[in-house]
Amino acid sequence: MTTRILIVDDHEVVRRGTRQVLIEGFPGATFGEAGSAPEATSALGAQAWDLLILDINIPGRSGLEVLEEVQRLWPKLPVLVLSAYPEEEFAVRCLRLGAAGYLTKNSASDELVAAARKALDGGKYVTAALAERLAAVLGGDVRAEPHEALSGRELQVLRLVATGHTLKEIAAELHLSEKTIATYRARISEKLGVSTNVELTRYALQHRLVD
Amino acid sequence: MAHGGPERGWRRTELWLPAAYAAAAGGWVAASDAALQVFAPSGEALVRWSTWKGWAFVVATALLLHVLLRRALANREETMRRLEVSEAQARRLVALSPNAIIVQDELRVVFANEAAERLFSATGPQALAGRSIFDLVHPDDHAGVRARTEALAAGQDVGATLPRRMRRLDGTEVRAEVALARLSLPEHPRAVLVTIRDVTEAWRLQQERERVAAALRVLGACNEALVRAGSEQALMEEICRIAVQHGGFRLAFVGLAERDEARSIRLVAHAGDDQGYFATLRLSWGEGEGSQGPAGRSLRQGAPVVVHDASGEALFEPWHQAMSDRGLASVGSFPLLLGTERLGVLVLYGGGTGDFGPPVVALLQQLADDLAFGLATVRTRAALVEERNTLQAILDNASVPIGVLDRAGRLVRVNGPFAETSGSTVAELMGRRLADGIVPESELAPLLAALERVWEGQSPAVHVNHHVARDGSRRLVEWTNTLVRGANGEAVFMVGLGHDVTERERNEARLRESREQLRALAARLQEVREEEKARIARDLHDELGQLLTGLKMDLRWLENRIGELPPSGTVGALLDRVVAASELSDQTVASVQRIAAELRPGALDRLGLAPALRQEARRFQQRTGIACETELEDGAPEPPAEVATALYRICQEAMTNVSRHAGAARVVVRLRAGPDGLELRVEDDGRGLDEAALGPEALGLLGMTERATALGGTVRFERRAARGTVVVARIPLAAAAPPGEGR
Repeated sequence: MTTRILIVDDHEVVRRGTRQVLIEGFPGATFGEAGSAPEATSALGAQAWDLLILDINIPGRSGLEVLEEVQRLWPKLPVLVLSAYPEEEFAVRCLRLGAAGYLTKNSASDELVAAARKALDGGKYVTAALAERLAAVLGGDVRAEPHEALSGRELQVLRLVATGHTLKEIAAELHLSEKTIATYRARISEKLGVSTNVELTRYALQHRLVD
Repeated sequence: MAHGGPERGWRRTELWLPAAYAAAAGGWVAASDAALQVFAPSGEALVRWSTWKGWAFVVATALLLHVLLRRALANREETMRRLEVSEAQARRLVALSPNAIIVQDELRVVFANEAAERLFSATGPQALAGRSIFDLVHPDDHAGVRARTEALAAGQDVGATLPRRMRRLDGTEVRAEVALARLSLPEHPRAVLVTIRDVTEAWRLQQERERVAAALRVLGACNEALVRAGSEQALMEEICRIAVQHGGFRLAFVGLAERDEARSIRLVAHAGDDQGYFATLRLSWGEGEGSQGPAGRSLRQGAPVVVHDASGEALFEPWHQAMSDRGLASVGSFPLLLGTERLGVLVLYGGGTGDFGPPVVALLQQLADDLAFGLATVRTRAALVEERNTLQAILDNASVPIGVLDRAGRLVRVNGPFAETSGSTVAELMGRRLADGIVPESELAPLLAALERVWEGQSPAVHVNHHVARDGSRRLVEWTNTLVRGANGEAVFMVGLGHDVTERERNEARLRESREQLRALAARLQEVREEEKARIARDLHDELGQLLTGLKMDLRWLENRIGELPPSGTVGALLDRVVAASELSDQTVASVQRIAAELRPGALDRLGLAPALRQEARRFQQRTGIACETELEDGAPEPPAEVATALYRICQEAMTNVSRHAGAARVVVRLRAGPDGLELRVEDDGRGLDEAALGPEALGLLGMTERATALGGTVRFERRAARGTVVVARIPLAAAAPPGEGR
């Protein structure tokens, strides 16, 4: 069964980028696009959808209102909010309104596929940073599995780092520059919500990412 | 005379007594003869009886005669005795009479009583006897006396008494009243009784009275002249003229005491026909020549000097001839004194020796005193006029309004600038009250109350009020008042020195207005800038940010694709570049978002003030490392956008100051809703606000204040008791309508 995904964003560039990212994860998916709240409403009414990718800042009504309406009319439809605004501003509100996840557009290219998978499975996707915040607010029963958002190459780098390879060794092995490896490591740290090599290694061991 | 009645009776007695006797005797003779002839028995008896009857008749007649004679003699004796008494009394009366009594016959004195002796200074009773009556009469009256005596002799009635000038034996004159009566004496049948009453004293008193009256007239006329006196010179000339015209003095002059070396007396005014006399006078009140006359002496002594008879005065030797040539007999000099100052002398010349009796001297000295006072008054008056003119000149030339009020609140003096402030002329304002349309009614009551306090010396003598002109235009004048006190210390005038502050006030109002406009403009600019920032922030975030996001997604896609290729040098190199580009786009997005947030925090518009402040606090802490806490009331109502913006910006500015200047380790941002709006407190534990930083150059602080003020709020900057600074901003929720329209 093909996955039907509706992307609501007023920027064509963003819609296209989002579609490209999602095609990577869901090769057979079909996509619908809407540039405004009214377009979104009519698209939602026109056919059934499996997933709604919703921008908050869209012409017409605010994305939050659209989110409420979707929850009311199509309670089963998972909604991923993809926003240009920081998580700290809207994430909690969106999750309360029933969104399956909240992603900033910054992190979309890295985490969108993982988040979409989670949402389609009926789960909620929470980024590592947000999980940390929510843990502080709600008392720690929010569990995230941030490594799901890691790309294959990033996973490869994580394993190498966790097994004690230096940047130079990793770079040589992967035929990449040290700078790129450093970038990867930074991205990994961010996604996993860790900051040092030791924490990184511990995370890899805990989640059995290394032998 | 007292016996007039009985005397007439006696004369009747003289007639009827003999007649009765004759009738009775005749009757007796006839009846007795007839009876004898009837009853006589015989002729012989008849003869005898007739003889006896004759004898009885003779005896009876003799007895009657005796009685009558006795009575007549007794009467005569009584009369003689009475005459003697009467004559003695008359002699005594004459002798004791206070009036001089002279009996003259043929114009020679035949009798003079003691009073006459005294009157004529006779040495004894006989000194007068036999003298010609003309020896006792002043030559001027000889003719009169002769005529009157002759008229009397001719039997004419010469009337009662007449005033005469008599002359004593020593040659002095006596004023008398003389009465004449005929007196027929046995030895002087044509004698004349002359009664002389000495009225010299009365006459002298009368003369004195007349002189005093004249002097009083002079004094009165002079006082009038003093009151009217226009100038010193005119006054002195007038006094001299009056003394001569009304006072009966021949000449008069006023000399002023000069302070030169010779101490000369300068003759400045005179009256009377002096026939060149005054031109010859060289007077001095010093010691040298011309100083011994009455003028010099009286001025030196400071007291009147009178010479009753110049001809007998040795000191008058130099002027004797000149005076007698002009019929001048007496001189009185009266010093003109003002306190101890000697102004000069008033000198009067009389034609008679009795012109300067003591009362006259007293009156004339009073005149001199009055003249001195008059001169002083005239001089003072002249000085006053000069002073007044000087004052007026000052008033007129002063460029500020000046007004003088009397105690009754009337303007007694104003100058041109004062008149200008009330749109009138100086003449129109004189005598008017401030209430008479000078000060607008609305300001009158407090102004008058303030002035009353000034009169009582109670209040600071400065006030500001409007003057209103007829055309309704107003000037604002600031007054400084000074009280002018009279001789006894009470305030008589209030001098107001004005300062027309209309322009100043207008300028201040303009300045205020322009400041308001500037403030409004600043607020509007602020607002516009805020809008502009918000727009740019939106554009950056929504447009540029989204585009970059798209770019980044493409790069990631590329990166992922390349990453799936088997690792090799070429692939590695490609991947390196793509990762670098992707990283660059990440940084660019972050930059854009940071710049947008700094321009205008999206949270403020999207989430409200409290979340925006929290976000700002977090960023502040990240940026500066200074711990930043927030205590924000969650229940507080969301303020209007402009209030939220203002408080947010104030908070930002305050925190910027903390990071720049305070050296603080901790900042607390508090927001709470108070009764008068929202209160934002930014407290730090730094080194505290530098007082100097509160000056106008502290633009940051000024900016905060301006933002709050534009919305009807306030900002306070305080040093905390312990350490650090507190910025407290309060802005009402129902914000005062900002100058521009709200967003």
